[in-house]
Amino acid sequence: MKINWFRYAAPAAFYPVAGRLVPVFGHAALALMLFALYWGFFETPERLGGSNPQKEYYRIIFIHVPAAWLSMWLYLVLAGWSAVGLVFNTRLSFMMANAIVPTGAVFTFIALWTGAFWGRPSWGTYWDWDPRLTSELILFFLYLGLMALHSAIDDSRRADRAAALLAIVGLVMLPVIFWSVNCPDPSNCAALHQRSSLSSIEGNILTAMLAMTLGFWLYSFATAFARLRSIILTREADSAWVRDMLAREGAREGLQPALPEGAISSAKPDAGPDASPETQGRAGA
Amino acid sequence: MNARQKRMLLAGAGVIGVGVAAMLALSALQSNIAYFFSPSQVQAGEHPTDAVFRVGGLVVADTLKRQADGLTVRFDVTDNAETVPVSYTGILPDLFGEGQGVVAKGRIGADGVFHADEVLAKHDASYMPPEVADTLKTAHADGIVEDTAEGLKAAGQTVTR
Amino acid sequence: MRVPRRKVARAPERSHNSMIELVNDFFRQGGYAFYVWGAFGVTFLLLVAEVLTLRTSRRTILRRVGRLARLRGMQARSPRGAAGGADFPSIPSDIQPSIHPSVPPSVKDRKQAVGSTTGDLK
Repeated sequence: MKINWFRYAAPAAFYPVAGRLVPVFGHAALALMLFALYWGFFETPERLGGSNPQKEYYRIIFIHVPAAWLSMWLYLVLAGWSAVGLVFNTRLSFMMANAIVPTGAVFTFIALWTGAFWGRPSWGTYWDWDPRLTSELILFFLYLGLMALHSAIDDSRRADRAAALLAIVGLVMLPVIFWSVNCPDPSNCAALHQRSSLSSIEGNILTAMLAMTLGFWLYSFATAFARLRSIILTREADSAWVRDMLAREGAREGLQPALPEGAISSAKPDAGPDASPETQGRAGA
Repeated sequence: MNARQKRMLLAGAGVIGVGVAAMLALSALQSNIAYFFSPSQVQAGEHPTDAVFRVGGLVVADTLKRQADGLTVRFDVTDNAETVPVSYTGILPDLFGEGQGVVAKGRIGADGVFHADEVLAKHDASYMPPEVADTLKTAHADGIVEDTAEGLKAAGQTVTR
Repeated sequence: MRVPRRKVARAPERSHNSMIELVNDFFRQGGYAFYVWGAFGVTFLLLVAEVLTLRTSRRTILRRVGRLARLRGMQARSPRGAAGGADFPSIPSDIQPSIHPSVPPSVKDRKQAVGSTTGDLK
């Protein structure tokens, strides 16, 4: 079966697809996060030993590391969609990049916050200007900057392009900062974060951490697609397909009574409250 | 200026603010790295004599001692080439231990001892369950850490940062 | 060398006490409850807040866009549209990949002239 993928480059075509995907990703994300929480709290050692003898607070790793990974990954993805949008001039790509930004910002903040709460008992401080911490903070500023820049420009097309350019510029800066944790000699190094490898992590701890990472990743799909749908609706508000879809959906869900042909003056736009909260998963078509 | 221009100005100010914040963060990072000295550098006299700076290295084994007042601790920091004695009043972080990495911030005194205002512990990135041997290794440091904490509490001090 | 005092769980005397103790120990997290729950708690709150915000904003947008769509629909059906619904196709069945210079910029929420339909389907 030959799928014309470009078909889904149109907001109208992707809108219903996204609508069906949101609950799938959302529920899967929830399941994985609950599993990760259970495993992390009940299948892992209370305390650690060896050269890293952390106490119960080490369990913050189950949130901190996944959030940090997602903060970087989501930035990569939104920069990628920004590049696609600039090259192919597809508006949906810009919309997708725009939809990812707030979720990326949330995960970056979570990484910083949980890192602070982990750093205080272990290192002895909530904050330090070490390269990894500082770079994560700058990443947070980048996310904020993307949101500020996009909202600063009224014209949605120009806003898309400007934000896309900022995203790509920021992307270039990022590896430079993140890989500056080059500390050949730990006893001669100002950084608190050390180089790490997955092989030095106990199996159950690793399982919980990876499960939470997967959970966060699926969660970000759900929120990005949900946000994308709202963005599409806002921008395509005057299109016929939106009009038809809402007329059909509105009548079906009883949001507003379907208007009979030719009834002009009798219609009150604000008639009746929006009674039923529409579920995000309802297919748009 | 109408409402839309005002909004754009506000959002534009937000963008600029974010850029300024990022630059400040980068400069803080640079000064954090710039004012860090290894024990060798300190012994060579490269450190600033009258300013706060940071010393980092490994805590030398068997040098952790509680002082007579019960609140201050002394230990040596080394980079396996040179050693600097450090004195600190306060609760040591949980991961502080002999043979572990540490970063101390403070000044060097006339007596050649580094008087630290802040001691941060470093740890590596291994996450392994404890074995019996490991618990013995950190026992010495733990004993001193807990005693100092209690001493401070008895003295009516709660050291918070 | 001093022997460190570690926080050791007391051996339970009755089984029903040990359940309560287990729950207590879980919440205490070895004395680090503030840090552990401070971290997990804020994370949970943020994620829930994000989901709720998405729900609310979607509802608002649907209401606003729905109102707009109905107004347009009414206007289209009155003096202008002789052909009824035929002028306004729903979701197009085939959409060509559109790699062409961008159409003139459209201001967000600016109301376009009624009758322009497929211009935005890219």
